[in-house]
Amino acid sequence: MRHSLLKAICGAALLLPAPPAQQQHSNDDDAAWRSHRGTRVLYAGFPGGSREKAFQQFLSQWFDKVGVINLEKLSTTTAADYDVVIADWCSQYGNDGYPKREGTLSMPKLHIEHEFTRPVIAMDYVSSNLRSEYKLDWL
Amino acid sequence: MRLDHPIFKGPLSVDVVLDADHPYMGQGTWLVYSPESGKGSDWGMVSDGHELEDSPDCERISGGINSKGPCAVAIGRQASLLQWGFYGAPDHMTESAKRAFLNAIVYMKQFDGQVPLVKKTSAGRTWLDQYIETLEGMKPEERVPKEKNDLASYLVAKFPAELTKDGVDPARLRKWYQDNEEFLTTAGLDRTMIVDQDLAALKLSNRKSEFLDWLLRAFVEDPQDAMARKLAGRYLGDHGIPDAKAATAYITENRPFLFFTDTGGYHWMVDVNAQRTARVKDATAKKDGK
Repeated sequence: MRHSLLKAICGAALLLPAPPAQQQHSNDDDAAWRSHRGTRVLYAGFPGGSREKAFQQFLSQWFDKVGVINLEKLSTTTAADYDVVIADWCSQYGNDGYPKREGTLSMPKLHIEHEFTRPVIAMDYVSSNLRSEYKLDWL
Repeated sequence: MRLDHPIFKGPLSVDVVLDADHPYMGQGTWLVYSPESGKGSDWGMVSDGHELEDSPDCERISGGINSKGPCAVAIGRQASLLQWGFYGAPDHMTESAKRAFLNAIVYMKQFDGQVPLVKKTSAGRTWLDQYIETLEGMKPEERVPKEKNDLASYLVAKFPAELTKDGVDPARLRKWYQDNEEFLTTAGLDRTMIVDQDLAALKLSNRKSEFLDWLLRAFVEDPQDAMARKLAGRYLGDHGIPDAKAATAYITENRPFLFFTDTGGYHWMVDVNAQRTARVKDATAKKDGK
């Protein structure tokens, strides 16, 4: 059941060729972004691997302070020095270097406390781990 | 997809190109990411979009191609949590997706400290509309339940048995839904909804502000009004003490912040985030002597 639910969405993949690598920011971007570079961003994800590396590189291009931790270590304390958290985990399909799992979900051992109100962007199904009783959960 | 949402507006410009050759729900599709060449796309997640926005802490930003229905939410927010339901990491995101994602980080800063208002305990009433649409799209012979767990059985079970005992007629179900939409309530923890016959008899919506006005009027006329006490107990949530004084105080003191939620259990609740903001604003104004 849960496995089938994972098949809930795709990013309209394969419709267009992959985009070019990150380009240098334009002057317009620099001007628009200047006041936001100081936003402190914490990436909390699956330790090691391609996603952590990709997020860290990407975020570091746009923000002056970027932290990286294991998602399972996310708490009010570890997020205290950041403005926004990116909560991420790996796939279980084995397409991008992470172990392929059959029959069971790769779920982080995590449940943030109710008092945790730091802004979070949860990738893919991670919101269902963070606040499973609320609205952003498996359909 | 809400292209007028702030995450598509700035601070970075986002050039969302909708691919008209691959339409979904009457709109072109936005390519969010591409998998590695030769490898399959990993699945993401959608959340239930039916009545997602029945609480003021939530917003639907974008759907996505999925198997759960057109209302499902790929990008959505509840309080300080934003779901980005697509799996692709930045090294596989399109340029427009990267820019929208960066904008989302900036956008979310304003929700620091906001608590989620509603725990999901029931299904929004518009699910019935989707069930009827699904039946409308099936051939007459497919609408006949054959096995306990087939699709037709699942859908038919969502409606009162008397409506389908002589066969499944989507037009009849739609008329019943239209006639009773405002009087629906949850039947329990599953996705089943029932008509509140008390509301139907009064022709009184449980989710519109007229419901609160009706209660106040009824308690003024008769504090012991049995129907008013029953409905207050049923729809004022934890504060639904079937007592005229308590119910009246709850409504009048919280009126600007009250909202009705289907997904949170079919009752009225207080937007504590907005209430706290208003208190801070008031306190600040008093301090400044305004």
